[in-house]
Amino acid sequence: MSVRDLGYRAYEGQRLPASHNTWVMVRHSVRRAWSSWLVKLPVFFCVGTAVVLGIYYLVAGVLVSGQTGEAFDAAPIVRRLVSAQMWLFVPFITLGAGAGSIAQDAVHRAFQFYFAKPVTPAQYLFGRVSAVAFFAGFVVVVPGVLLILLTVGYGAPSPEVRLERAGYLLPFLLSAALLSVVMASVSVGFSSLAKSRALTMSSWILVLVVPHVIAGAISLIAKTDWVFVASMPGLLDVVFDALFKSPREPEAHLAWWHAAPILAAVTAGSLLLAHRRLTHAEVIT
Amino acid sequence: MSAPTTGTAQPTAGAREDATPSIRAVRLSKWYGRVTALQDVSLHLEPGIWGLLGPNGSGKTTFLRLVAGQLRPSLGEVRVCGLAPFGEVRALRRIGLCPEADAMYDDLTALEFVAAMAELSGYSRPAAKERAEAALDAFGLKKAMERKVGGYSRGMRQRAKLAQSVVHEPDVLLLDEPLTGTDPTSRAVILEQLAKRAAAGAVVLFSTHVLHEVEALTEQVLLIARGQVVAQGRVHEIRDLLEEHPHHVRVVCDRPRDLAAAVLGEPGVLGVRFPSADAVEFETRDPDRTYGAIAKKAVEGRFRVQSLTSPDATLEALFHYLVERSGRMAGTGADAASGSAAPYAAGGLAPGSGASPTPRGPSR
Repeated sequence: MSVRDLGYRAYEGQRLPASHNTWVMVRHSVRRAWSSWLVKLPVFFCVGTAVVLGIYYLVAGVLVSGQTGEAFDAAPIVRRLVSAQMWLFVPFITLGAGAGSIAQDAVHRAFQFYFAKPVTPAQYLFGRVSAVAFFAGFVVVVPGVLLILLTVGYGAPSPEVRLERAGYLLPFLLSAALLSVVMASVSVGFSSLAKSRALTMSSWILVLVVPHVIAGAISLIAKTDWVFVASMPGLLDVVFDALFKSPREPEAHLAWWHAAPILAAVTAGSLLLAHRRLTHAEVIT
Repeated sequence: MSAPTTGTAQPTAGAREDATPSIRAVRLSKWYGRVTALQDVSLHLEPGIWGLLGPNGSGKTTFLRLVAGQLRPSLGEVRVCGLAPFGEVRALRRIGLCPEADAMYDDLTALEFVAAMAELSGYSRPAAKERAEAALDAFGLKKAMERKVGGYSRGMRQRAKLAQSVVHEPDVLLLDEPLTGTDPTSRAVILEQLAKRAAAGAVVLFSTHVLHEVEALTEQVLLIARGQVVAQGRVHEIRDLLEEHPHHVRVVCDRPRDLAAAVLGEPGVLGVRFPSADAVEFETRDPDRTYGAIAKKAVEGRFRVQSLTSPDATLEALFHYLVERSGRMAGTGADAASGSAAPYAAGGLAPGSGASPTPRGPSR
């Protein structure tokens, strides 16, 4: 029996370069992330924040300001949306797609499938981080853009104000990008710390919430904001304030040039740790 | 039976890709910290089906992962189609790996998963989907390919896993315990597909610790134990070795010493010992004849036999025997344990000699 009789057909097409696998890993990781309800629910309900803040804008910004004649500053509303999404929706995304992703593959030994192909640990890691960042960015950007469109299109008293409000888009997008990348990288880095998905997920949420709560309590008593260097959301808030040029309290000492290097170091450290764990601890040794 | 021989393969020069599929290992070793997983393995496999036979923990999976480019050798080298597979895209694209772990994602359909694996092998999305459908169809999953893997039976999961390993038509197919947990239907489909791949010119190397699984697929086997290739040859030669090495038969009965006296004079019986007050254990080189003799004497002497077992009628016993034997041949038993002993070559097939018997099944 010949090979042809057995149904074999030679592949005559072109093989794509191995660098193409980065894109394949991103798509594959996005598809996998979407299978989690912890990702689906925030995506479906993320616009809720924009609706609430939009109503607030319509009441405070349009009705009240219209009656009093005072100019209304809409920037704090957009700024508030970033923080709201950071606490309300992004943690669910990072839990569903980030903080357990590598641990799950480690438990099931799924690395063998990927690394038997021309996939590098860096490509694998980029795919996992990108998937989390994509959904985290989505739940921030979509409601934020809708809110900015509302403030631009409705209730702006003059073309200058309309232009000023359109200018919120840049700091908003930078904030969303920063939030997505930092939260995605650190959560995925956490997922490489252990083979237990429950452990990595619970550790991640503890690290996200507990230092912030403790820092908040200490700052109230000690009247200092330096303790927020231990809180990732606290550091992000400082950078968001700087991007939106939000007015700061007189006793605030922690500035964006303190927060940004720390966030950069934590993000890079998480990625390096995950890469090291992938290359040394599991398959590629 | 051949005398033990030393591997003769020389290190391959340069990183020139060979058109002919092959696996070559030269003094290949792998350590995990202080644990030796593989020791001084030299062999050369050409197209056909090869069974990698060894007890659990013998180094089979480590060897497959070294060949698959997932581990970097601690010492020596491994070449797949002339290329060192670790981090080498050209080599990885010619290798298909089906790992032992049931690592399928329950929330993806088999088609999604296999298509993603095809894309990672360099195919465009449409081509990958087409190939994934063909591969899943070949393994009998045409109707189920759109279903999520979480709803699959174990045999179906195994077939889906195998489909991803062949979706890019690899020249070298590495299968870690591919028949574990499969039902007869899955088993038949898998065996048929592997025979086809080998007939198409691929090197198919599969690991198992069950001899009859090897017999179902091929005549060619490599025996691995304690991280060493202790023998290489054909299945019937392994069978002969099983019969050749001292065999133990344990009988639990009411008068073990009387039974021992009656059986001891039979041909092939080498010795006897009494592991407990109600048991006797015979050492024999001819187990079939000894079983017959025990049955005959038990009936004649009206013994009340409670059980008749063979504590070492397993491959583990054979591996143990071969390792010890190769150690004795090389000088001392310690040599075998440290890996310096020469492997046993059955049928004149020395590891690393480049010999490649004709595969079972249809030829090209």
